[in-house]
Amino acid sequence: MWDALQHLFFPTQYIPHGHCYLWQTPLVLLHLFSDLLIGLAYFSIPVLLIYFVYKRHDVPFSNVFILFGTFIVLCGTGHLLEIWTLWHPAYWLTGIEKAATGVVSFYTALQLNQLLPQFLALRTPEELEAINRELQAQIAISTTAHQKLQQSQLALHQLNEQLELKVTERTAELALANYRLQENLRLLDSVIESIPDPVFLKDCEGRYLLLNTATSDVIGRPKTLILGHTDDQLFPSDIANLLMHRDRVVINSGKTQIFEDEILQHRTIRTFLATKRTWQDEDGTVKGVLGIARDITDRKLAEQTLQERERFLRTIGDNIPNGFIFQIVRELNGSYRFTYVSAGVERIYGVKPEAVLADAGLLFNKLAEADLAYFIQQQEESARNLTDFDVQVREQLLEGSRWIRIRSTPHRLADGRVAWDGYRFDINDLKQTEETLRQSEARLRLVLENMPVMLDAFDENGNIIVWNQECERVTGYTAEEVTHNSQVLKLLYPNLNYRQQMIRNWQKQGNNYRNWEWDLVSKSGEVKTIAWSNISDRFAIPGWASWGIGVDLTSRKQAELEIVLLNQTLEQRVNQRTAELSAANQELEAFSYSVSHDLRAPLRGIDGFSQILQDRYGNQLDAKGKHYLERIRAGTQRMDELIDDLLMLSRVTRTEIRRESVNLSAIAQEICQSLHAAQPDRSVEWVIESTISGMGDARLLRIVLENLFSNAWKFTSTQAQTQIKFGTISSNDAPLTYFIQDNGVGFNMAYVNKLFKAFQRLHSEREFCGTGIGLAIVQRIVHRHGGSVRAEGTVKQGATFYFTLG
Amino acid sequence: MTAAPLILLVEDNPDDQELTLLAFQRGGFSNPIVVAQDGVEALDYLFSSDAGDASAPTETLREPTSLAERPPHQLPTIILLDVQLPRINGLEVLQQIRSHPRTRLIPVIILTTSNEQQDLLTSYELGCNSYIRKPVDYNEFLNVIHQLGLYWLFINTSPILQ
Repeated sequence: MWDALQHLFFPTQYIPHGHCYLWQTPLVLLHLFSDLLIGLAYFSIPVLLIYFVYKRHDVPFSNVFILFGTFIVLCGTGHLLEIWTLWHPAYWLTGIEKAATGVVSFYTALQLNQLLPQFLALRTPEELEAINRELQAQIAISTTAHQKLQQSQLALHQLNEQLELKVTERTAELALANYRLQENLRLLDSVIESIPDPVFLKDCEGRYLLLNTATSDVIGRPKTLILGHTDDQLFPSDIANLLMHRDRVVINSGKTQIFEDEILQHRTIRTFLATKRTWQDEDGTVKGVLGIARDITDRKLAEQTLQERERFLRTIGDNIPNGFIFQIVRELNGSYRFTYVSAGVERIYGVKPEAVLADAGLLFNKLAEADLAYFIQQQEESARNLTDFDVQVREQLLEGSRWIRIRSTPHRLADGRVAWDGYRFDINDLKQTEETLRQSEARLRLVLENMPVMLDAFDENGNIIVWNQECERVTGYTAEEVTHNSQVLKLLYPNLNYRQQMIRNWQKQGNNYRNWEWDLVSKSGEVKTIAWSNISDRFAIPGWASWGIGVDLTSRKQAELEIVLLNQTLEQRVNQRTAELSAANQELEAFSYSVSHDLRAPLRGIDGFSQILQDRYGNQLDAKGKHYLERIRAGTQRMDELIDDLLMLSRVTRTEIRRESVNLSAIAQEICQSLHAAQPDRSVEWVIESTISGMGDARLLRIVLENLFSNAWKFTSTQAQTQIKFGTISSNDAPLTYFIQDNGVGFNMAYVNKLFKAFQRLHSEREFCGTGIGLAIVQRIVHRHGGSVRAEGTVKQGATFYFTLG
Repeated sequence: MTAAPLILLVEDNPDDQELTLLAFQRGGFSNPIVVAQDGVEALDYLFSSDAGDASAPTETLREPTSLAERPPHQLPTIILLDVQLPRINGLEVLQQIRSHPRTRLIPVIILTTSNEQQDLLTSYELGCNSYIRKPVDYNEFLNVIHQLGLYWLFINTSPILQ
């Protein structure tokens, strides 16, 4: 702090002012004394100013004086600091002091600028003296006027006192009159309050002047809030407009008028019947409208409901199809008169309801003659006993007779007459349906009665009520003996245990049984097995609590028993036969085996020794001898062939079949080649389908084809041009058929049955060699495959063999 | 001297025996042929029988002597075996031949009347070297025997040392 002040007052970095004056003593002293003198002068001026302001309080603008004082003191301080800077270069300090002087002097100049107009307005002393003189003159006038005023006030006071006296007198009179008026109003009020309907009085502008509580209830405001108000302040605008319009109508016409108005009260619309008339004073001048209203909402509603009810009844009455409703009265003299008929009467008879009302006979005449007496009797009885009248009678109309039903309920009128309210409708269709139903039921009954199935039905008590002819036939008991017979079960099921068991099961089973077999004992003592099925649940028949059908199984049961026995023995027989067959098969096998050896061995001996005989001793034999030896050898060779074929036949019977897909075309090709190779000279055309295959045992099928092809080959040997075909025929519903066709000698179809039998030949050995076993082998193999074989042929025109493979 | 290859013919039918021997003769074969009437004789011959003078052609072995007394004899180069034989049948004989080390390599030719598939298959299963069905036609039979002898005795090399 001290350092800062030191630095401010005694700076060292600047050059002192005296240095600028080159320290020349006269020049320095000149500046010294000049500044000192200015400073003293400047300091003394504020002192004089303060004294002036102190002495002259009335002089305005003292602030300006203070500003002047401050600004002059600051100027003086500036000059004193000039002296200081001669030796000490405190230029920062002088700068700050100059800035303060600048600010204050500038502010003072601004103040002076603003105050200048006021300075200019300051009055001069001459002006002030003229004003003072004028004021003295006016005071003199005012004093005269005040004296006059005091005189007037005195006169007024006297007048006032007289007036007060008069007012007091008049007030007493008015109080009496007011009291009487109040009395009248109270009376009026209690009168109109005693009226339950809304009562009100409005002036010509529509303002409520008077009203009772009923009115305020309708409007929904306390009276005080209604009085003096108009309708448009109290009701929604549409209602208010209507009400005010009505008031004007009354006022303009001067007549009493009745209006029906709907007013919203407590959020419901209510209907009022308002009577309004004009209110006039003694001179007949219209002063307003007087009104009284009645709430007729409930009455209107009741009327409406009644109308609706009546329309409803009328609509129903008029819309009854093929019928009408009516009211008829029986007069005391016994005659009948309609008091009401609905419109249907016109639709049915073409007669107007009014005409019927006038003449009841119009309807009575329609009744059929036959039913008229019955009708009247019923009517009279109903009148006597007041019981419901309900008849079904016929009407005779032009188009024919129809059934109708009339139903009515009587009541006695106060004067003793009887009136019926009722209806009449057409039941002809119903009657016809009933009749159809009855006939159909009768037919059904007839069928049930006569069908060859037992039918019985039970009532609620468990008694049989239906027992048809088949039941009678099977059991021997007639319907008379069985129906309504509580002991019937004892008759049919005489065995106690069996019967009880049956009843127990029956109770357990209820109506839910089907083909339930029970044995009953017929009248002649035979046991009959009956399969009962209950169909009550599926075909419920009214009146039949439970019913069912039974089928007599007795003969079927016996047959079944026989079949079972037969089956048992059959099985036994099959086993036996199988064993026999098996044994036979074994024997056959042994036989075949021995045939192949034992039958053939001697043959070889015969042939061999015949040959040796021929070779060694041929020269000793004549031609005949040699021929016989030839015949011996031919016989042995044929025998050898026969044995071979027989063995083949036996073998194809015994061999187990292994099924596989076999390429028959390929086999056929091989066979053809070998056949052709044996007789290469023959001219032959082979036609073999290329893709024939079949399911079967390859070895056995080869044997089939070998036999058939060699047959074809053999029996075409006489043809110049041989043609052999192998193909198939396929059709949708039959297995694939294979065929081998030739153009050979053919055969007579008369012998076709012999073809496939062993050793049966259609040609002599001389014509065509062969054993007659080949086709038998073919047939056996085909049969073992489950297929069939047949032949077609014509003599000299070839043969075709067809076979299938199952 | 080296003995000529021996043929053992097992055949019960005298006709066939004679025809077969004749056929060998007609075919020009001079080999000795031992004939066994049935399976028992054949086995006796092979395993214990006295073959006698093996060099001499023998038609029959009528009275076989006991096993122990018999000197060892020449084994046949081929055996012609019928299937259907009294007492022990040909298939059984074949089985025993094949199960015995001494005889199991001897070529056995089944020469039979049977053309039963079962016989053929069983024979091969038991190890026969050939299966020949005897033709009824004697000329064919001669042809068969001729070819058979030619093949088995001359063309074929037998494992049996002569």
